[in-house]
Amino acid sequence: MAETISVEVARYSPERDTEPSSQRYDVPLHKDWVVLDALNYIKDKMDGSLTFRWSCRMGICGSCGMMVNGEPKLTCATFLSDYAGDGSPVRVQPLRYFPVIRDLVVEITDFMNKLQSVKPWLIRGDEKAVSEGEYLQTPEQLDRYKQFSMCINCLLCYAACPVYGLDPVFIGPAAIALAQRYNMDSRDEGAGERMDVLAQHEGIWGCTFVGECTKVCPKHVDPAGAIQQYKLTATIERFKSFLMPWAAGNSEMESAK
Amino acid sequence: MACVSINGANRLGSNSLPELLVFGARAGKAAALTSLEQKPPSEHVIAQANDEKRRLEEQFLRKTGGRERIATIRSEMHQAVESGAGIYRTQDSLQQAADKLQELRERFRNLSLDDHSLTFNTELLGALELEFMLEVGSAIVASALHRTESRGAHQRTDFPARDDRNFLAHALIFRSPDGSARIETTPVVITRWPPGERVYGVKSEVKEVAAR
Amino acid sequence: MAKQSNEPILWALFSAGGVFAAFAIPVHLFLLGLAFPLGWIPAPGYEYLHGLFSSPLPRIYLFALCFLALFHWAHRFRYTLYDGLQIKHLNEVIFVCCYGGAIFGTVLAGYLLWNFH
Repeated sequence: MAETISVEVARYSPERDTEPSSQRYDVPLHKDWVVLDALNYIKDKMDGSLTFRWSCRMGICGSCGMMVNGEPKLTCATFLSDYAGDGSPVRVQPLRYFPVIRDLVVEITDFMNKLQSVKPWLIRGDEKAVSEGEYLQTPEQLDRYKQFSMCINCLLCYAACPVYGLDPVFIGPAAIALAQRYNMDSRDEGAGERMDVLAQHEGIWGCTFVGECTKVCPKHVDPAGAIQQYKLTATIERFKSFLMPWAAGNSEMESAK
Repeated sequence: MACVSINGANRLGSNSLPELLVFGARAGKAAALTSLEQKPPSEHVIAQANDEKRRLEEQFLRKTGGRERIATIRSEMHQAVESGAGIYRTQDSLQQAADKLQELRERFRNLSLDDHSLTFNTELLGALELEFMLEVGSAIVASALHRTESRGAHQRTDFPARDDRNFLAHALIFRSPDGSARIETTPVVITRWPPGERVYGVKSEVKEVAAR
Repeated sequence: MAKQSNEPILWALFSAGGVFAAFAIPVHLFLLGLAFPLGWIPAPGYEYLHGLFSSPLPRIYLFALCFLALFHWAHRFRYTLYDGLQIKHLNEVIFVCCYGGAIFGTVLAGYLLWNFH
Protein backbone atom coordinates (compact mmCIF):
# COMPACT_ATOMS: atom_id res chain seq x y z
CA MET A 1 0.00 0.00 0.00
CA ALA A 2 1.17 3.49 -0.79
CA GLU A 3 2.16 5.87 1.96
CA THR A 4 -0.65 8.05 3.27
CA ILE A 5 -0.95 11.38 5.01
CA SER A 6 -3.74 12.69 7.21
CA VAL A 7 -5.45 15.88 6.20
CA GLU A 8 -7.55 17.65 8.78
CA VAL A 9 -10.05 19.87 7.04
CA ALA A 10 -12.29 22.54 8.55
CA ARG A 11 -15.97 21.79 7.98
CA TYR A 12 -18.90 24.13 8.35
CA SER A 13 -22.34 24.11 6.84
CA PRO A 14 -24.68 26.95 7.78
CA GLU A 15 -27.68 24.67 7.27
CA ARG A 16 -26.44 22.02 9.67
CA ASP A 17 -23.87 23.45 12.07
CA THR A 18 -23.82 26.16 14.68
CA GLU A 19 -20.02 26.21 14.72
CA PRO A 20 -17.18 24.86 12.60
CA SER A 21 -15.62 21.49 13.24
CA SER A 22 -12.84 19.55 11.61
CA GLN A 23 -12.74 16.24 9.81
CA ARG A 24 -9.77 13.99 9.18
CA TYR A 25 -9.14 12.12 5.93
CA ASP A 26 -6.25 9.83 5.04
CA VAL A 27 -5.08 10.39 1.47
CA PRO A 28 -2.23 8.87 -0.55
CA LEU A 29 1.03 10.76 -0.23
CA HIS A 30 2.49 11.23 -3.68
CA LYS A 31 5.70 13.15 -4.03
CA ASP A 32 4.22 15.50 -6.62
CA TRP A 33 0.92 16.13 -4.87
CA VAL A 34 -0.05 19.53 -3.58
CA VAL A 35 -2.64 20.21 -0.88
CA LEU A 36 -5.22 20.94 -3.58
CA ASP A 37 -4.66 17.45 -5.04
CA ALA A 38 -5.46 16.00 -1.63
CA LEU A 39 -8.66 18.05 -1.42
CA ASN A 40 -9.71 16.96 -4.90
CA TYR A 41 -8.92 13.35 -4.03
CA ILE A 42 -11.18 13.63 -1.00
CA LYS A 43 -13.95 15.25 -3.04
CA ASP A 44 -13.68 12.72 -5.88
CA LYS A 45 -13.30 9.50 -3.92
CA MET A 46 -14.28 9.99 -0.30
CA ASP A 47 -16.65 12.86 0.38
CA GLY A 48 -18.28 14.84 -2.42
CA SER A 49 -19.70 17.33 0.06
CA LEU A 50 -16.32 18.85 0.92
CA THR A 51 -16.51 22.38 -0.46
CA PHE A 52 -13.64 24.58 -1.63
CA ARG A 53 -12.79 26.97 -4.46
CA TRP A 54 -10.22 26.15 -7.10
CA SER A 55 -9.76 26.54 -10.79
CA CYS A 56 -6.47 26.68 -12.68
CA ARG A 57 -4.12 24.54 -10.50
CA MET A 58 -1.17 26.70 -11.63
CA GLY A 59 -1.04 29.78 -9.45
CA ILE A 60 -2.81 32.10 -11.86
CA CYS A 61 -6.49 32.20 -10.91
CA GLY A 62 -5.98 33.00 -7.23
CA SER A 63 -9.01 31.05 -6.04
CA CYS A 64 -7.48 28.26 -3.94
CA GLY A 65 -6.02 30.31 -1.09
CA MET A 66 -6.50 28.66 2.32
CA MET A 67 -4.76 28.39 5.67
CA VAL A 68 -2.39 25.43 5.68
CA ASN A 69 -1.09 24.67 9.17
CA GLY A 70 -2.03 28.21 10.12
CA GLU A 71 -0.30 29.98 7.24
CA PRO A 72 -2.01 31.56 4.24
CA LYS A 73 -1.07 29.50 1.18
CA LEU A 74 -2.12 28.84 -2.39
CA THR A 75 -3.04 25.17 -2.02
CA CYS A 76 -2.08 24.49 -5.64
CA ALA A 77 1.51 25.50 -4.88
CA THR A 78 1.93 23.90 -1.46
CA PHE A 79 3.36 20.40 -1.51
CA LEU A 80 1.95 17.75 0.81
CA SER A 81 5.36 16.19 1.22
CA ASP A 82 6.59 19.36 2.96
CA TYR A 83 4.22 18.51 5.79
CA ALA A 84 4.88 14.77 5.92
CA GLY A 85 7.23 13.06 8.28
CA ASP A 86 6.23 14.10 11.77
CA GLY A 87 2.99 12.08 11.68
CA SER A 88 0.77 15.03 12.51
CA PRO A 89 -2.03 15.87 10.07
CA VAL A 90 -1.94 18.78 7.64
CA ARG A 91 -4.52 21.28 8.83
CA VAL A 92 -6.49 23.02 6.08
CA GLN A 93 -8.73 25.90 7.09
CA PRO A 94 -10.53 28.74 5.33
CA LEU A 95 -8.63 32.01 4.87
CA ARG A 96 -8.38 33.88 8.17
CA TYR A 97 -10.32 37.12 8.86
CA PHE A 98 -13.03 36.41 6.24
CA PRO A 99 -16.54 35.19 7.03
CA VAL A 100 -16.98 31.53 6.08
CA ILE A 101 -19.75 30.58 3.66
CA ARG A 102 -19.13 26.88 3.87
CA ASP A 103 -16.22 24.55 4.70
CA LEU A 104 -13.21 26.24 3.04
CA VAL A 105 -15.12 28.86 1.04
CA VAL A 106 -15.00 32.44 2.33
CA GLU A 107 -17.13 35.49 1.61
CA ILE A 108 -15.03 38.00 -0.39
CA THR A 109 -17.56 40.72 -1.20
CA ASP A 110 -15.78 43.08 1.20
CA PHE A 111 -12.58 42.79 -0.83
CA MET A 112 -14.40 43.09 -4.16
CA ASN A 113 -15.95 46.37 -3.03
CA LYS A 114 -12.62 47.69 -1.78
CA LEU A 115 -10.90 46.68 -4.98
CA GLN A 116 -13.48 48.52 -7.03
CA SER A 117 -13.20 51.60 -4.82
CA VAL A 118 -9.57 52.17 -5.90
CA LYS A 119 -10.57 52.12 -9.59
CA PRO A 120 -8.09 49.50 -10.77
CA TRP A 121 -8.27 50.36 -14.44
CA LEU A 122 -6.67 52.92 -16.76
CA ILE A 123 -8.26 56.31 -16.31
CA ARG A 124 -7.73 58.87 -19.09
CA GLY A 125 -8.59 62.52 -19.30
CA ASP A 126 -9.51 62.11 -22.94
CA GLU A 127 -9.68 58.76 -24.62
CA LYS A 128 -7.76 58.55 -27.88
CA ALA A 129 -9.77 57.35 -30.84
CA VAL A 130 -8.96 53.79 -31.89
CA SER A 131 -7.74 55.13 -35.24
CA GLU A 132 -5.03 57.15 -33.44
CA GLY A 133 -3.37 53.93 -32.35
CA GLU A 134 -2.10 52.53 -29.08
CA TYR A 135 -0.86 54.27 -25.96
CA LEU A 136 2.83 53.50 -26.20
CA GLN A 137 5.05 52.63 -23.26
CA THR A 138 8.77 52.00 -22.92
CA PRO A 139 10.15 48.91 -21.15
CA GLU A 140 11.40 51.22 -18.37
CA GLN A 141 7.89 52.63 -17.91
CA LEU A 142 6.53 49.10 -17.75
CA ASP A 143 9.10 48.09 -15.14
CA ARG A 144 7.86 50.80 -12.78
CA TYR A 145 4.55 49.04 -12.11
CA LYS A 146 5.02 45.54 -13.51
CA GLN A 147 5.64 43.92 -10.14
CA PHE A 148 2.28 45.16 -8.82
CA SER A 149 0.48 43.89 -11.91
CA MET A 150 1.38 40.31 -10.97
CA CYS A 151 -1.28 40.32 -8.20
CA ILE A 152 -3.84 37.54 -8.67
CA ASN A 153 -6.30 38.69 -5.97
CA CYS A 154 -5.79 35.48 -3.98
CA LEU A 155 -6.26 37.37 -0.68
CA LEU A 156 -3.42 35.64 1.13
CA CYS A 157 -2.15 39.12 2.07
CA TYR A 158 -5.44 39.95 3.78
CA ALA A 159 -5.32 36.69 5.73
CA ALA A 160 -1.77 37.60 6.77
CA CYS A 161 -2.50 41.22 7.75
CA PRO A 162 -3.13 41.69 11.50
CA VAL A 163 -4.38 45.22 10.87
CA TYR A 164 -7.13 43.90 8.57
CA GLY A 165 -7.90 41.26 11.20
CA LEU A 166 -8.36 43.87 13.91
CA ASP A 167 -10.07 46.50 11.82
CA PRO A 168 -11.87 45.28 8.69
CA VAL A 169 -12.45 48.83 7.42
CA PHE A 170 -8.75 48.91 6.43
CA ILE A 171 -8.68 48.83 2.65
CA GLY A 172 -5.90 46.25 2.72
CA PRO A 173 -2.67 45.29 0.94
CA ALA A 174 -3.82 43.99 -2.45
CA ALA A 175 -6.22 46.88 -3.13
CA ILE A 176 -3.45 49.41 -2.41
CA ALA A 177 -0.87 47.50 -4.46
CA LEU A 178 -3.31 47.37 -7.37
CA ALA A 179 -4.05 51.08 -7.04
CA GLN A 180 -0.30 51.67 -7.29
CA ARG A 181 -0.18 49.38 -10.32
CA TYR A 182 -2.31 51.98 -12.14
CA ASN A 183 -0.90 55.07 -10.40
CA MET A 184 2.56 54.13 -11.65
CA ASP A 185 1.38 53.34 -15.18
CA SER A 186 2.50 56.00 -17.67
CA ARG A 187 -0.78 55.63 -19.57
CA ASP A 188 -2.91 56.38 -16.53
CA GLU A 189 -4.21 59.79 -15.44
CA GLY A 190 -6.33 58.72 -12.48
CA ALA A 191 -3.95 59.12 -9.54
CA GLY A 192 -5.85 62.12 -8.23
CA GLU A 193 -9.15 60.23 -8.21
CA ARG A 194 -7.61 57.29 -6.42
CA MET A 195 -6.05 59.53 -3.79
CA ASP A 196 -9.51 60.35 -2.41
CA VAL A 197 -9.83 56.72 -1.34
CA LEU A 198 -6.22 55.86 -0.57
CA ALA A 199 -5.27 58.89 1.49
CA GLN A 200 -8.12 58.40 3.96
CA HIS A 201 -7.51 56.94 7.35
CA GLU A 202 -8.99 53.60 6.21
CA GLY A 203 -6.64 53.71 3.24
CA ILE A 204 -2.89 53.62 3.59
CA TRP A 205 -2.79 55.17 7.08
CA GLY A 206 -4.23 52.06 8.68
CA CYS A 207 -1.06 50.16 7.78
CA THR A 208 1.51 49.84 10.56
CA PHE A 209 4.09 48.20 8.30
CA VAL A 210 3.95 44.71 9.73
CA GLY A 211 5.15 43.42 6.36
CA GLU A 212 3.45 40.01 6.50
CA CYS A 213 1.55 40.78 3.26
CA THR A 214 4.76 40.88 1.29
CA LYS A 215 6.08 37.77 3.00
CA VAL A 216 3.11 35.56 2.08
CA CYS A 217 2.54 36.84 -1.48
CA PRO A 218 2.86 33.88 -3.86
CA LYS A 219 3.52 36.17 -6.83
CA HIS A 220 6.29 38.22 -5.18
CA VAL A 221 4.31 41.42 -5.24
CA ASP A 222 5.41 43.83 -2.51
CA PRO A 223 2.21 45.36 -1.11
CA ALA A 224 4.00 46.61 2.00
CA GLY A 225 6.40 48.48 -0.26
CA ALA A 226 3.52 49.89 -2.30
CA ILE A 227 1.90 51.22 0.85
CA GLN A 228 5.08 52.86 2.15
CA GLN A 229 5.69 54.35 -1.27
CA TYR A 230 2.19 55.75 -1.29
CA LYS A 231 2.47 57.12 2.24
CA LEU A 232 5.38 59.25 1.04
CA THR A 233 3.44 60.36 -2.05
CA ALA A 234 0.37 61.26 0.03
CA THR A 235 2.49 63.11 2.57
CA ILE A 236 4.22 65.18 -0.10
CA GLU A 237 0.82 65.95 -1.64
CA ARG A 238 -0.52 66.97 1.74
CA PHE A 239 2.35 69.36 2.41
CA LYS A 240 2.04 70.72 -1.09
CA SER A 241 -1.68 71.38 -0.74
CA PHE A 242 -0.86 73.16 2.53
CA LEU A 243 1.98 75.26 1.17
CA MET A 244 0.82 75.72 -2.42
CA PRO A 245 -2.94 75.13 -2.52
CA TRP A 246 -3.05 76.23 -6.16
CA ALA A 247 -0.67 73.46 -7.30
CA ALA A 248 -2.29 70.56 -5.44
CA GLY A 249 -3.38 67.67 -7.58
CA ASN A 250 -1.62 64.77 -9.05
CA SER A 251 1.52 66.49 -10.25
CA GLU A 252 3.64 64.45 -7.82
CA MET A 253 2.07 61.23 -9.01
CA GLU A 254 2.59 62.15 -12.63
CA SER A 255 6.22 63.11 -12.17
CA ALA A 256 6.85 59.77 -10.41
CA LYS A 257 6.31 58.02 -13.71
CA MET B 1 -13.66 26.91 -27.26
CA ALA B 2 -14.45 30.11 -29.08
CA CYS B 3 -15.82 29.53 -32.56
CA VAL B 4 -16.60 32.75 -34.32
CA SER B 5 -15.11 31.29 -37.51
CA ILE B 6 -12.52 33.96 -38.20
CA ASN B 7 -9.73 31.39 -38.01
CA GLY B 8 -11.27 28.72 -40.22
CA ALA B 9 -10.60 25.18 -39.10
CA ASN B 10 -7.84 26.33 -36.80
CA ARG B 11 -8.43 25.75 -33.13
CA LEU B 12 -5.15 26.79 -31.53
CA GLY B 13 -5.40 28.27 -28.07
CA SER B 14 -3.56 31.41 -29.09
CA ASN B 15 -6.20 32.06 -31.72
CA SER B 16 -9.15 31.39 -29.51
CA LEU B 17 -7.82 33.64 -26.77
CA PRO B 18 -7.94 36.90 -28.75
CA GLU B 19 -11.29 35.77 -30.14
CA LEU B 20 -12.48 35.38 -26.60
CA LEU B 21 -11.14 38.79 -25.60
CA VAL B 22 -12.62 40.63 -28.56
CA PHE B 23 -15.91 38.82 -29.05
CA GLY B 24 -16.31 38.00 -25.37
CA ALA B 25 -16.11 41.69 -24.52
CA ARG B 26 -18.63 42.53 -27.24
CA ALA B 27 -20.95 39.74 -26.14
CA GLY B 28 -20.70 40.90 -22.52
CA LYS B 29 -21.55 44.48 -23.38
CA ALA B 30 -24.44 43.40 -25.60
CA ALA B 31 -25.78 41.10 -22.89
CA ALA B 32 -25.61 43.89 -20.31
CA LEU B 33 -27.49 46.27 -22.63
CA THR B 34 -30.09 43.64 -23.46
CA SER B 35 -30.66 42.86 -19.81
CA LEU B 36 -31.33 46.55 -19.13
CA GLU B 37 -34.05 46.56 -21.77
CA GLN B 38 -35.63 43.32 -20.56
CA LYS B 39 -39.05 43.31 -19.03
CA PRO B 40 -39.56 41.03 -16.01
CA PRO B 41 -39.68 37.39 -17.13
CA SER B 42 -42.99 36.12 -18.45
CA GLU B 43 -45.03 33.40 -16.74
CA HIS B 44 -43.73 30.90 -19.27
CA VAL B 45 -40.14 31.65 -18.46
CA ILE B 46 -40.84 31.39 -14.75
CA ALA B 47 -42.66 28.09 -15.28
CA GLN B 48 -39.69 26.82 -17.28
CA ALA B 49 -37.31 27.86 -14.53
CA ASN B 50 -39.46 26.09 -11.96
CA ASP B 51 -39.41 22.94 -14.07
CA GLU B 52 -35.63 23.05 -14.16
CA LYS B 53 -35.48 23.64 -10.42
CA ARG B 54 -37.68 20.60 -9.89
CA ARG B 55 -35.47 18.54 -12.20
CA LEU B 56 -32.35 19.53 -10.25
CA GLU B 57 -34.00 18.59 -6.99
CA GLU B 58 -35.31 15.26 -8.22
CA GLN B 59 -32.30 14.22 -10.23
CA PHE B 60 -29.58 15.42 -7.87
CA LEU B 61 -30.40 17.12 -4.60
CA ARG B 62 -33.07 14.84 -3.18
CA LYS B 63 -32.06 11.69 -5.02
CA THR B 64 -30.62 8.83 -3.01
CA GLY B 65 -29.46 5.35 -3.94
CA GLY B 66 -27.55 6.10 -7.16
CA ARG B 67 -24.29 4.24 -7.47
CA GLU B 68 -22.17 6.33 -9.85
CA ARG B 69 -19.70 9.02 -8.75
CA ILE B 70 -18.95 12.15 -10.77
CA ALA B 71 -15.20 11.54 -10.78
CA THR B 72 -15.50 8.00 -12.19
CA ILE B 73 -17.66 9.04 -15.13
CA ARG B 74 -15.59 12.16 -15.71
CA SER B 75 -12.27 10.32 -15.95
CA GLU B 76 -13.76 7.61 -18.19
CA MET B 77 -15.09 10.39 -20.41
CA HIS B 78 -11.66 12.07 -20.56
CA GLN B 79 -10.10 8.75 -21.49
CA ALA B 80 -12.71 7.95 -24.16
CA VAL B 81 -12.58 11.34 -25.91
CA GLU B 82 -8.80 11.64 -25.68
CA SER B 83 -8.15 8.25 -27.25
CA GLY B 84 -11.09 8.25 -29.68
CA ALA B 85 -11.29 11.86 -30.84
CA GLY B 86 -7.81 13.15 -30.03
CA ILE B 87 -5.20 14.32 -32.51
CA TYR B 88 -5.59 11.44 -34.99
CA ARG B 89 -9.01 9.96 -35.56
CA THR B 90 -10.46 7.00 -37.46
CA GLN B 91 -13.93 5.63 -38.04
CA ASP B 92 -13.20 2.91 -35.46
CA SER B 93 -11.74 5.14 -32.76
CA LEU B 94 -14.58 7.63 -33.14
CA GLN B 95 -17.22 4.92 -33.07
CA GLN B 96 -15.71 3.50 -29.88
CA ALA B 97 -15.76 6.95 -28.30
CA ALA B 98 -19.37 7.45 -29.41
CA ASP B 99 -20.42 4.13 -27.87
CA LYS B 100 -18.56 4.84 -24.66
CA LEU B 101 -20.11 8.31 -24.35
CA GLN B 102 -23.54 6.80 -24.91
CA GLU B 103 -22.86 4.33 -22.12
CA LEU B 104 -21.63 7.12 -19.82
CA ARG B 105 -24.71 9.23 -20.53
CA GLU B 106 -26.84 6.32 -19.43
CA ARG B 107 -24.73 5.73 -16.34
CA PHE B 108 -24.95 9.45 -15.55
CA ARG B 109 -28.64 8.93 -14.75
CA ASN B 110 -27.54 6.67 -11.93
CA LEU B 111 -25.38 9.42 -10.42
CA SER B 112 -25.51 9.97 -6.69
CA LEU B 113 -24.36 13.12 -4.88
CA ASP B 114 -23.00 13.24 -1.33
CA ASP B 115 -23.89 16.90 -1.12
CA HIS B 116 -27.58 17.77 -0.70
CA SER B 117 -26.96 21.27 0.57
CA LEU B 118 -28.26 24.45 -1.03
CA THR B 119 -25.24 26.47 0.13
CA PHE B 120 -22.33 26.70 -2.32
CA ASN B 121 -22.94 23.19 -3.61
CA THR B 122 -19.90 22.61 -5.82
CA GLU B 123 -20.76 18.96 -6.29
CA LEU B 124 -24.05 19.87 -7.98
CA LEU B 125 -22.10 22.27 -10.17
CA GLY B 126 -19.69 19.45 -11.01
CA ALA B 127 -22.61 17.19 -11.97
CA LEU B 128 -24.10 19.82 -14.28
CA GLU B 129 -20.71 20.48 -15.85
CA LEU B 130 -20.26 16.76 -16.43
CA GLU B 131 -23.70 16.50 -18.01
CA PHE B 132 -22.82 19.33 -20.41
CA MET B 133 -19.40 17.89 -21.18
CA LEU B 134 -20.92 14.50 -22.02
CA GLU B 135 -23.27 16.24 -24.40
CA VAL B 136 -20.60 18.44 -26.00
CA GLY B 137 -18.27 15.44 -26.24
CA SER B 138 -20.98 13.45 -28.03
CA ALA B 139 -21.52 16.35 -30.43
CA ILE B 140 -17.79 16.59 -31.18
CA VAL B 141 -17.55 12.87 -31.84
CA ALA B 142 -20.71 12.84 -34.00
CA SER B 143 -19.47 15.69 -36.20
CA ALA B 144 -16.00 14.09 -36.46
CA LEU B 145 -17.62 10.84 -37.59
CA HIS B 146 -19.66 12.73 -40.15
CA ARG B 147 -16.66 14.63 -41.53
CA THR B 148 -14.91 11.99 -43.67
CA GLU B 149 -11.96 14.21 -44.58
CA SER B 150 -8.99 15.90 -42.81
CA ARG B 151 -9.04 19.65 -42.20
CA GLY B 152 -7.20 21.85 -39.68
CA ALA B 153 -7.15 20.17 -36.33
CA HIS B 154 -9.44 17.39 -37.52
CA GLN B 155 -7.07 14.66 -38.79
CA ARG B 156 -8.71 11.46 -39.98
CA THR B 157 -6.00 8.89 -40.78
CA ASP B 158 -8.59 6.96 -42.80
CA PHE B 159 -9.43 10.11 -44.83
CA PRO B 160 -6.15 12.10 -44.97
CA ALA B 161 -7.14 14.51 -47.76
CA ARG B 162 -9.20 17.67 -47.54
CA ASP B 163 -12.51 17.42 -49.37
CA ASP B 164 -13.79 20.91 -50.21
CA ARG B 165 -16.54 19.58 -52.45
CA ASN B 166 -18.39 17.92 -49.59
CA PHE B 167 -17.00 19.52 -46.46
CA LEU B 168 -16.15 23.19 -46.99
CA ALA B 169 -18.94 23.72 -44.50
CA HIS B 170 -19.72 24.37 -40.86
CA ALA B 171 -21.33 21.45 -39.06
CA LEU B 172 -24.42 22.33 -37.05
CA ILE B 173 -25.50 19.79 -34.46
CA PHE B 174 -29.08 19.55 -33.31
CA ARG B 175 -30.39 17.41 -30.50
CA SER B 176 -33.13 15.05 -31.63
CA PRO B 177 -35.97 14.33 -29.22
CA ASP B 178 -34.32 11.00 -28.34
CA GLY B 179 -31.10 12.78 -27.36
CA SER B 180 -29.09 11.71 -30.40
CA ALA B 181 -27.29 14.21 -32.61
CA ARG B 182 -28.61 15.31 -36.00
CA ILE B 183 -26.09 17.03 -38.27
CA GLU B 184 -26.73 19.72 -40.82
CA THR B 185 -24.21 21.85 -42.64
CA THR B 186 -24.02 25.44 -43.70
CA PRO B 187 -21.53 26.67 -46.33
CA VAL B 188 -18.38 28.58 -45.40
CA VAL B 189 -18.16 32.13 -46.73
CA ILE B 190 -14.61 32.74 -47.97
CA THR B 191 -13.63 36.38 -47.63
CA ARG B 192 -9.87 36.83 -48.13
CA TRP B 193 -7.93 33.62 -47.68
CA PRO B 194 -9.15 30.38 -49.29
CA PRO B 195 -8.13 27.22 -47.43
CA GLY B 196 -4.71 25.92 -48.39
CA GLU B 197 -2.74 22.78 -47.79
CA ARG B 198 -1.21 22.46 -44.33
CA VAL B 199 2.47 21.65 -44.77
CA TYR B 200 5.53 22.01 -42.63
CA GLY B 201 9.32 22.11 -43.10
CA VAL B 202 10.81 22.03 -46.60
CA LYS B 203 7.40 21.68 -48.20
CA SER B 204 6.20 24.92 -46.64
CA GLU B 205 9.21 26.78 -48.07
CA VAL B 206 8.47 25.35 -51.51
CA LYS B 207 4.89 26.49 -51.13
CA GLU B 208 5.96 30.00 -50.17
CA VAL B 209 8.27 30.28 -53.17
CA ALA B 210 5.49 29.02 -55.45
CA ALA B 211 3.12 31.59 -54.03
CA ARG B 212 5.54 34.39 -54.96
CA MET C 1 -9.84 65.79 -2.16
CA ALA C 2 -11.81 64.10 0.60
CA LYS C 3 -11.36 64.88 4.29
CA GLN C 4 -7.80 65.98 5.06
CA SER C 5 -6.19 63.56 7.46
CA ASN C 6 -3.53 64.68 9.98
CA GLU C 7 -1.90 61.33 9.49
CA PRO C 8 0.55 62.51 6.78
CA ILE C 9 2.07 65.06 9.18
CA LEU C 10 2.38 62.56 12.02
CA TRP C 11 3.73 59.95 9.63
CA ALA C 12 6.27 62.41 8.21
CA LEU C 13 7.56 63.11 11.75
CA PHE C 14 7.55 59.39 12.48
CA SER C 15 9.51 58.63 9.33
CA ALA C 16 11.97 61.45 9.79
CA GLY C 17 12.49 60.42 13.42
CA GLY C 18 13.04 56.80 12.44
CA VAL C 19 15.59 57.67 9.80
CA PHE C 20 17.39 60.26 11.94
CA ALA C 21 17.50 58.03 15.01
CA ALA C 22 18.64 55.02 13.00
CA PHE C 23 21.62 56.97 11.70
CA ALA C 24 22.52 59.08 14.72
CA ILE C 25 21.86 56.96 17.79
CA PRO C 26 24.21 54.08 16.87
CA VAL C 27 26.98 56.65 16.51
CA HIS C 28 26.22 58.07 19.97
CA LEU C 29 26.03 54.58 21.46
CA PHE C 30 29.30 53.57 19.88
CA LEU C 31 31.17 56.68 21.04
CA LEU C 32 29.72 57.06 24.52
CA GLY C 33 29.09 53.39 25.28
CA LEU C 34 32.15 51.69 23.80
CA ALA C 35 34.83 53.83 22.23
CA PHE C 36 35.31 56.41 25.03
CA PRO C 37 34.99 54.10 28.08
CA LEU C 38 37.21 51.44 26.54
CA GLY C 39 39.75 53.98 25.48
CA TRP C 40 39.62 53.17 21.76
CA ILE C 41 39.32 56.86 21.13
CA PRO C 42 40.62 59.36 23.70
CA ALA C 43 37.59 60.81 25.48
CA PRO C 44 37.13 64.57 25.06
CA GLY C 45 37.38 66.55 28.25
CA TYR C 46 34.64 68.59 29.90
CA GLU C 47 36.09 71.85 28.69
CA TYR C 48 36.07 70.69 25.10
CA LEU C 49 32.45 69.50 25.20
CA HIS C 50 31.33 72.60 27.02
CA GLY C 51 32.95 74.67 24.35
CA LEU C 52 31.38 72.60 21.63
CA PHE C 53 27.84 73.05 22.95
CA SER C 54 28.27 76.74 23.45
CA SER C 55 27.83 77.19 19.74
CA PRO C 56 24.27 76.85 18.41
CA LEU C 57 24.68 74.15 15.73
CA PRO C 58 25.38 71.16 17.99
CA ARG C 59 22.50 72.25 20.21
CA ILE C 60 20.16 72.44 17.23
CA TYR C 61 21.34 68.98 16.28
CA LEU C 62 20.55 67.59 19.76
CA PHE C 63 17.20 69.34 19.78
CA ALA C 64 16.25 67.85 16.38
CA LEU C 65 17.31 64.40 17.54
CA CYS C 66 15.17 64.62 20.67
CA PHE C 67 12.21 66.17 18.86
CA LEU C 68 12.10 63.68 15.97
CA ALA C 69 12.93 60.60 18.00
CA LEU C 70 10.18 61.47 20.48
CA PHE C 71 7.62 61.82 17.69
CA HIS C 72 8.81 58.56 16.24
CA TRP C 73 8.23 56.97 19.63
CA ALA C 74 4.82 58.60 20.03
CA HIS C 75 3.55 57.31 16.68
CA ARG C 76 4.87 53.79 17.11
CA PHE C 77 3.69 53.58 20.72
CA ARG C 78 0.23 54.83 19.77
CA TYR C 79 -0.20 52.01 17.23
CA THR C 80 1.34 49.47 19.59
CA LEU C 81 -1.33 50.38 22.13
CA TYR C 82 -4.08 50.26 19.47
CA ASP C 83 -3.15 46.92 17.99
CA GLY C 84 -1.01 45.25 20.65
CA LEU C 85 -3.30 45.87 23.59
CA GLN C 86 -6.35 46.31 21.34
CA ILE C 87 -7.56 49.43 23.11
CA LYS C 88 -8.37 51.52 20.07
CA HIS C 89 -11.59 52.64 21.74
CA LEU C 90 -9.40 54.79 24.04
CA ASN C 91 -8.20 56.59 20.92
CA GLU C 92 -8.48 60.17 22.29
CA VAL C 93 -6.64 59.41 25.53
CA ILE C 94 -3.89 57.49 23.75
CA PHE C 95 -3.50 60.21 21.14
CA VAL C 96 -3.15 62.95 23.75
CA CYS C 97 -0.76 60.90 25.94
CA CYS C 98 1.53 59.86 23.10
CA TYR C 99 1.84 63.10 21.15
CA GLY C 100 1.40 65.13 24.34
CA GLY C 101 4.33 63.21 25.80
CA ALA C 102 6.37 63.90 22.70
CA ILE C 103 5.53 67.62 22.81
CA PHE C 104 6.36 67.75 26.52
CA GLY C 105 9.71 66.04 25.91
CA THR C 106 10.45 68.34 23.00
CA VAL C 107 9.67 71.46 25.04
CA LEU C 108 11.79 70.17 27.92
CA ALA C 109 14.71 69.43 25.60
CA GLY C 110 14.33 72.87 24.06
CA TYR C 111 14.24 74.53 27.49
CA LEU C 112 17.37 72.71 28.70
CA LEU C 113 19.32 73.33 25.52
CA TRP C 114 18.26 77.00 25.35
CA ASN C 115 19.41 77.61 28.90
CA PHE C 116 22.71 75.80 28.48
CA HIS C 117 25.61 77.86 29.70
